[in-house]
Amino acid sequence: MKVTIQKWNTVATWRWDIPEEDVCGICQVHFDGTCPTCKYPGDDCQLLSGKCGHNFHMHCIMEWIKQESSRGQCPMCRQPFEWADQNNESAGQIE
Amino acid sequence: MAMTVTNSKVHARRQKVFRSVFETRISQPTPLLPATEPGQPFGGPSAAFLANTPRLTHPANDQVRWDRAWHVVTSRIQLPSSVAAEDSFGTLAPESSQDVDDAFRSSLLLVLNPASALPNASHTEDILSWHSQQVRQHFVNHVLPLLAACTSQGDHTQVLLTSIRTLEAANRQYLYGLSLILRAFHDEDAANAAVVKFRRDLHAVIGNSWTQGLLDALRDVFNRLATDILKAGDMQASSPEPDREKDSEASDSRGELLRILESLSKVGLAGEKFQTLFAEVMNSCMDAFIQRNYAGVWASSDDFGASTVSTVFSGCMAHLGDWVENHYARLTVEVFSRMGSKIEWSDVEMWKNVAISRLSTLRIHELFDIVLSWPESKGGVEDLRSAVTTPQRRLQLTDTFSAALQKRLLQPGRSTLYILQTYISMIRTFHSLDGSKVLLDRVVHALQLYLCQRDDAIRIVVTGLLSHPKETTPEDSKGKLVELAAILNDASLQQRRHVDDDDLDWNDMHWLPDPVDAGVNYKRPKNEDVIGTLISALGSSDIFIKEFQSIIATRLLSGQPSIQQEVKVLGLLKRRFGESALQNCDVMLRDIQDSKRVDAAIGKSLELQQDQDGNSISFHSKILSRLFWPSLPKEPFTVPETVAEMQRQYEASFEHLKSSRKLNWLDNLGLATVHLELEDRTLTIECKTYEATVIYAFGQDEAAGEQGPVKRAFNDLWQQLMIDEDLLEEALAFWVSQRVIRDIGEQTYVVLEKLEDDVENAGADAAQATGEMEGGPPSPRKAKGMSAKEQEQRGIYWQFIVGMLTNSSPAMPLAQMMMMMKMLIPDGCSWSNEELQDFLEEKIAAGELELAGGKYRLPKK
Repeated sequence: MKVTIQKWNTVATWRWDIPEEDVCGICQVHFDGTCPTCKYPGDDCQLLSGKCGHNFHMHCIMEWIKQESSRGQCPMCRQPFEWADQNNESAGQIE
Repeated sequence: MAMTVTNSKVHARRQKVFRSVFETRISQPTPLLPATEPGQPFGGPSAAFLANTPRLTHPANDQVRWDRAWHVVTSRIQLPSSVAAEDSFGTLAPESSQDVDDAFRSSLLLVLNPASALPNASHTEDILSWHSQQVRQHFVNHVLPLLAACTSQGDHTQVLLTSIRTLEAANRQYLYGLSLILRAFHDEDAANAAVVKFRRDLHAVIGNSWTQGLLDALRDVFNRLATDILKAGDMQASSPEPDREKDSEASDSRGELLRILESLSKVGLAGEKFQTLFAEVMNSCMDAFIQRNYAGVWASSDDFGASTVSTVFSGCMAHLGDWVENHYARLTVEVFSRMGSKIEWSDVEMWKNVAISRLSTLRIHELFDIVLSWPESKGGVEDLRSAVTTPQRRLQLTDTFSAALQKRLLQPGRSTLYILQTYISMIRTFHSLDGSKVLLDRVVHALQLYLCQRDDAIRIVVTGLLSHPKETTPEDSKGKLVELAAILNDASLQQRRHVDDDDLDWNDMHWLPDPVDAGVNYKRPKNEDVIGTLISALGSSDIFIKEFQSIIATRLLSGQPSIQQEVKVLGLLKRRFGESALQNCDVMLRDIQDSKRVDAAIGKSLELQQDQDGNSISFHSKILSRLFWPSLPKEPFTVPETVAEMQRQYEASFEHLKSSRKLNWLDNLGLATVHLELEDRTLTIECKTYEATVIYAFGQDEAAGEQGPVKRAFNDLWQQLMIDEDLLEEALAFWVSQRVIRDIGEQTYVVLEKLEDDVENAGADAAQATGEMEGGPPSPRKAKGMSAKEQEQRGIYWQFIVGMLTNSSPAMPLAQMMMMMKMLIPDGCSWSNEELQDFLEEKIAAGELELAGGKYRLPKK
């Protein structure tokens, strides 16, 4: 018997490619979920990774940075928050 | 001493009272003497002589003359003392000779006017009262026994006729006596007065002489006749060509009835008792008529629109009103005019109302059947709507319906689907009956409570909503509530939903006040809203949404081309439950739409590579947001190498497309198409991915050049593919049923290269195969075929039980455990007592639990 697979319709789930924490430090929602203001996860509710190694929902950290009291610091480690360039990073990981 | 005196006094007084009421002292006629010649000591002067010598006035003489006159008269009009047969007293006394007649007349004059003719007679009596007294006694002694004898006859008509004849004869006899007396009356007014008085007395006597037998007979005969007459008004008879035979029958009956009636009133039986009886008969006739004509007849009003007269009522109501007016009232009027009374128009109106209320009672009792055969039964509901107007009747309606509901629907013998279908009919029936929904709300409570016990209710509703009304064949729709999908797709029903109802809409020209019997938080619905009512009956919205999610998830992953229906249903549910409650479903739908786009984009880049490799698998994937889908079971296994390669490429493309995101494959979900080339046939089969993987493993070794078809053992496959046992079993069963492989025992399967190879055990296999087909893919063994979710749940419960037995109390009975679990497990415990018991028994069998004295405890280590 010769078996040929002609079609393969499968199912997959996606997840953010981040190492450890799975919950946004600000809204305490899973990264794969949405921040409180968003309805759809993924493209609509991106993540933002700081150079300090902490990740947040983009909308969450933006809100935070906008506030006077934050002084532009990461809410987790109180270092000045600078975001890593995502595209480069992810590209690097793939290769 | 004093005692006896008072006693005798009391006795005397009682006698006096008795006499004042009943004239006991009225004398009997003087016995007839053999010799009445004048000159005899007791004979006295002849009547003629007495008449000729009125001036002979002596007190004693007068008395004698009076006595003689009395004697002559009374002996003349005396009634026969005994009767043997019914007609024996019917023959009148023979016409007497002239001289006797003269003697009688002169005596009569004396008797009638004792004061003027015989002023000195000290003891005189009234001949008229004597006569009526005599009649009374005769009636009691002779006629009543005869009547009683009459009633012992079998046939009711016969009883009636002989009774009437007997009474007529008696009447004739009595009136003859009276007429003899009246001859002497010169004053016509006095004569008439005497006749009237006598008749009244007589009728009083006769009217009180109803025997049970006679009553029964009369009732029976009247019933029969009235039924015959009123039959002319039956529904069938109101057709354009009336039944001639029936008509003539009716008029015959009418004639007979009136004849009987006339003779009855002549003999004096048309008194109060008769009227009561007649009323009873008419009453039962009305009942019978309504029952006969309208029970189960729910044709809508158009069907006999031609015969409708009244515009207020329609259908059966109109027909009934018509009947009461033209047949019922007519008969009654005729009867009453024979008895000398009249019927007012208001009476007829009242009868109409009575009839209509009867009909509505009938309809109320039929309501459950009306619901079941909706919408053919629209006419029945129309009847009800026009009749059920008072709060009392509304209450009666709901009470009766609730009772019927409990008895006929809410019982284990009814399938949930059937209950739901009935409920839909109920919603519609009650909506057309009463737009305010108050009635429905009142009856539906028990139904809602009952539905909560049915686990599959929500599932049925949701699948019904999601089914495609046009695509489903009758067979397909058997297990589904296709009605719901039809309603959902009906644009006309949907549009009205958008009209926002607002109590403050002052321009609403259709505004109505709330019904008097409405509840506190009552809100008038704008339309029948079947789906909304149905969903709200299914208990808490959380449960419904959860169920909806899991169903929609299965459907979205099933590879159906369009998700239009899902989007529509979701839109409907959003309006009901709010956006946020259905957020997850929204994301799910969005995932499917997005992944179509992504898949197309990735597909393009893959194609380029495929051309180079010469590989031709068409590989597609759905990419889901894992947190928004209800538990997606992950059962990893080794996919075929070519597929794994494609997955790697796909992954790479995806990560390129969507920065910093990774894919997790759920290999066990999804569909594949495999092409099988066997020695005598080629097959192209669409199957589950794991099934494709298993059959692929059979195809792999061909290059090795083994003799004969490929063999595989269960355990080898299991190790090679690292697949879940249940899945493997399922897949093997699937291929066996497709007759691609064959079970040769010892858990070994062999490829069926030629169909003829299967002949030896085709019978058994075919049977098994069809069995598998019908049973569907899930393996019949329950314990093993448990879903991942259930497994997980069992794990959680077991943890909880162990914790409970360790920390709370070392030994617990089943009921207490159940209670604790229900109360303390965050999501509640979905198990029943029996399920828990089964679970614990499994654990006991596994040695993880002990049962001692009806209490469970952990074994001591």
